[in-house]
This record gives sequence, C-alpha cells and structure tokens, in this order.
Amino acid sequence: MKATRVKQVWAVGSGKGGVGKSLISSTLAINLSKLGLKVTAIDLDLGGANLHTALGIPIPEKTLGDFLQSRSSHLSECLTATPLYNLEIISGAQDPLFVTQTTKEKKLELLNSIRSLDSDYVILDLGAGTHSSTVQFFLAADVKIVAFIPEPSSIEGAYRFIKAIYYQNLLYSPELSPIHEILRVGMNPKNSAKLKTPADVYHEVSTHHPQTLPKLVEQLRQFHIHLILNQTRTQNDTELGDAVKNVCKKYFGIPVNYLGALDYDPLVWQAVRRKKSAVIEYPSSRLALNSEQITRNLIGLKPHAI
Amino acid sequence: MLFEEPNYYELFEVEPNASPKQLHEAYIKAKSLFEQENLATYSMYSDEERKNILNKIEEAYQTLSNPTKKSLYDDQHNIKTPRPLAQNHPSQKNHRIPATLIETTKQARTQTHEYSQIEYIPTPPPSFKNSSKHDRDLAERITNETKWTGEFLKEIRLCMGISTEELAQKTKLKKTYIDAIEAEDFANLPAAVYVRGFVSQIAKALSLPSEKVTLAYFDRYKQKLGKS
Repeated sequence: MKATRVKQVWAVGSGKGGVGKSLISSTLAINLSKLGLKVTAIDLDLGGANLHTALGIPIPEKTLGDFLQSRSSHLSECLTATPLYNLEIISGAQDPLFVTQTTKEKKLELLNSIRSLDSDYVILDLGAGTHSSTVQFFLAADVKIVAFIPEPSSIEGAYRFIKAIYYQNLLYSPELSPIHEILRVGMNPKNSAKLKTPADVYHEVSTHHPQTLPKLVEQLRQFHIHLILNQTRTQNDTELGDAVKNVCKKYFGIPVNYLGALDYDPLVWQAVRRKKSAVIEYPSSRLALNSEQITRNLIGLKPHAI
Repeated sequence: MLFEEPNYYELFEVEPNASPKQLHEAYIKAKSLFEQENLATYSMYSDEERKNILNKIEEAYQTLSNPTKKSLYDDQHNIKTPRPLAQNHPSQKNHRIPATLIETTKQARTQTHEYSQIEYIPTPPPSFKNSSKHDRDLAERITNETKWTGEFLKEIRLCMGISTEELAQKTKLKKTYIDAIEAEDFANLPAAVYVRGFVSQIAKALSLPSEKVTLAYFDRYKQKLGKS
C-alpha cells in the first residue's frame, strides 16, 4: 500500500451547536499552516457548513457535495485555496440537505480519500450532536477534540457526545462482539438492567464475559480524547476544563487530555462579523496565542514562552 | 485497574506525603466538584451518587487530616509514606501537647475533632519537602507557647492557609468575632462565657490544644476587663 502523506486527521466535535467548532477548526488549521505544514480543513457540518466564513473566504464553488454526489471523481477536485499558502479547504457550503443522507459506502470512500490528500494534516470541522455520520467521522480521526463552552447546556452536550462516541467506538470493534449487547444496553440511559454508567458495564463484562475484559480494557486505554474549552471569561471558567476532564476520566475510564481554554475575546466577535479569521486579523490576540500553544502541544512541539 | 474505588489519596489526587495545606486544598476542590450546582458534575451524577461521593470525601479528609487515623489507614492499605508519622516512640507516648506545628497543622490542619484525644509524639522537624524554616520555627514556638495571644492564633491560621471566612465557616462563628478575637478587641466581643467557647472553637479548628489555649487567652481577657 502506498504510504500516504497525511500524518494525522484531527476532528473537532461537540454535543451542541454554537460552541465555536468552526472557529477552533479554522484556528488550528491556520496555526498548523503557519508552522509550515500543509493543511486541508474539511467542513463536514453537512447541511450547516460555515468553515469558509471562519477562514474569511467567499462561498466556494466546489464543495464536498460534488464528491458525495459523484460529480467529482476525486476529493482533491473539491479543494479551494485560502489566503494562506499552505492551507486549503473543502467546503460544505450550499450543499443541499440531502447530502447528509449519504450512503455508508460513500462515507467510507470519503474517509479513505481524506487520507490520500496531499496534506500533512487534515482538520475535520464536524456538525454538532450525535448524528451517526458525525460520530463515524469523529471516530475515524487520529486526534479527537471535543469543544465546549462554560454553559450548562454545552457541558451536558459534551458529556452526551462523549458518551455516544465512547459506546460507538466499542461497538465498532469486532473483537468486542461478545459484549455488544451489553454495550447497547449501557448506551441507553433508561435501560432497565441497571447498567447506568460505564463502570456498571465494565463490572457486568468482568462478571459475565471475563475473557473479553482484557480487550475492553485495551480499547478503553487507547481511546484518547482531547478537550478544548472555548469562550472562557473567568478563572473559574478556566478551571472548569480540568473539572470536566477529571469527571470524564473517572466516569468513562479513558485517557482525557484538557488542551486548554480559549478566552472569550471581543476581537473574535468583531472579526466574525466582518467574515474574517480572528487569528489572521489579530495575530497577537489572546486567541491567537492560546490556540498556538494548543496546536504546538498537539503536534509535540515545545510551547512558546508567553 | 479500571473503575476501581480510588483510595483516599487517589480521591484527592495527592501524594501520601502531601502537606496539610495541599490536602486541605484538594479536599475543598473535591468537595466543590460534587456540590449540587457544579457545572462539571450536576448532569453526570444523581443526587444519591453525589451524596455518597461527598460522604466519602468527608470521611477521607477526616482520616487523612488526622495523623493517627492516617497512619492506621496507610498501614491497612499498605501505603508507604516517605516519613512515618508519630509512632514507635514508647518513651514519649501520651504526650498531649502538639509536638510541632507541622505535626499539628501539616497533617491535621483543619480537623475538628477533640485534639486532646489524640496522642502526639514530639518528633524532630519533619523533612517534608514543603516544610520551610519558618514552619519549623513556628512549630517550635507552638510547642513552647504559653500566652496564646490573638495575634499568634492569627499567625497560625495564616500559616495554615485558612482564611477568616473559612475559619468562620468551620467554627460557625461570625467573621467579626474571629477578627475581634485575633485583634484581642475585647470591647467588641460578647459576654465572657461566649468568648471562652469561641476561643475553644478556634483552637480546635486550628488543631491546637484547645484547653490550654482557652485558659491562657481567657486569663488575659479577664485581666484586661478587670482593669478597664
């Protein structure tokens, strides 16, 4: 098999809309490209695409819909240039809503094509919520980032999202087929089997399927998610990220990394209003600096001293 | 192992040799995480689960902040603390005066139990990473203290990293009374019988020998009131 250029695919998801996924995706993409890496950002918010706006470019002509509806034979035909030399995007703008009904095969083809793009990093900007396509795309990524803001509904949404990807990830594993039924029961919060938490599911497996337990443990150990808290305003908000991380680690028994907080910044709002990218417009803003640290951290570079 | 009941140290995410200040901070942090209104937990845990966790946190803190209980817990759970706590000093058993500040505060910082019920063994200033020279000096002064002035009580409180508000919460005393006791502003304190109780409460909250503190403080109080 031909070695692909793509080093890593990053996905940004959330349980609820309006938490800044497009801002975060575009910011990470811009930061990577500024580090000299070739980046493709893909808007997978099928039916609600707005990544192009966050990157400050007009509505692109070629879109993901062209690929999904087989008007383009290869994904690379759907690329649109951005003002940044190293950064291209594949937009989902103006695609009719029925693209969300894409077949499973087409989605798999899309995921394979993503890996064959001529890029170092691919960033997937996903739609909010736990739609099966969203979960599938998210789980296909190497770096899984869950975004949320310090608001009750957003945090509830983040937990709901993590729960969905957590169980779906286990259900994708053929090795765990003996316990799929238990997992499906555990997924349903109102199940009558008293499997309320991942810990309950774990104990159920250890009692009734001890031979599958090591595989479950291995899957959980490898399931690594990252958190980004957006729009923080106070010190308490910032600490919330750590608290959510700890709750996730304990509740789900998986490695969770809190990447950091992006402070609320009126400059972002101003830039969004002008359809510009805040990190390009204001390279020394807190958003630009914070997000750069997060990006460097993710690719294993030492952080800059601030 | 996954999903195992954490031990008390894991619960607070501290090392077995954490200083009382670190332990106290971790305790406050853990407790606030499971309060009803906490954004990070309210949607993940039922009221009953939350209550159980809070009970465990309380139990853990009562144990780890009490050197005797901590030492027993460590033994039972095979936890090795770099520096063994007060034990194996037969000659010095039944010593009821706080040996060093570090003994009383670094491990028992905000415990509320009756101090005098516990046996403390004087030990040389411990070699905790966080024990500064100032701490050790203060420890010595506590051992030798006889006057127990308000100023000294304040100094101990500050050294333990406890704010007046926190102390007020622990002792259920008004903040103004704590200020007045620390400032020895007797005119702003209520009747003598209350003052005795207040001082005793504060001493207990600071893990000091409450009887000694109260007696010494109250003597001065009576003298000053008598003069005025």
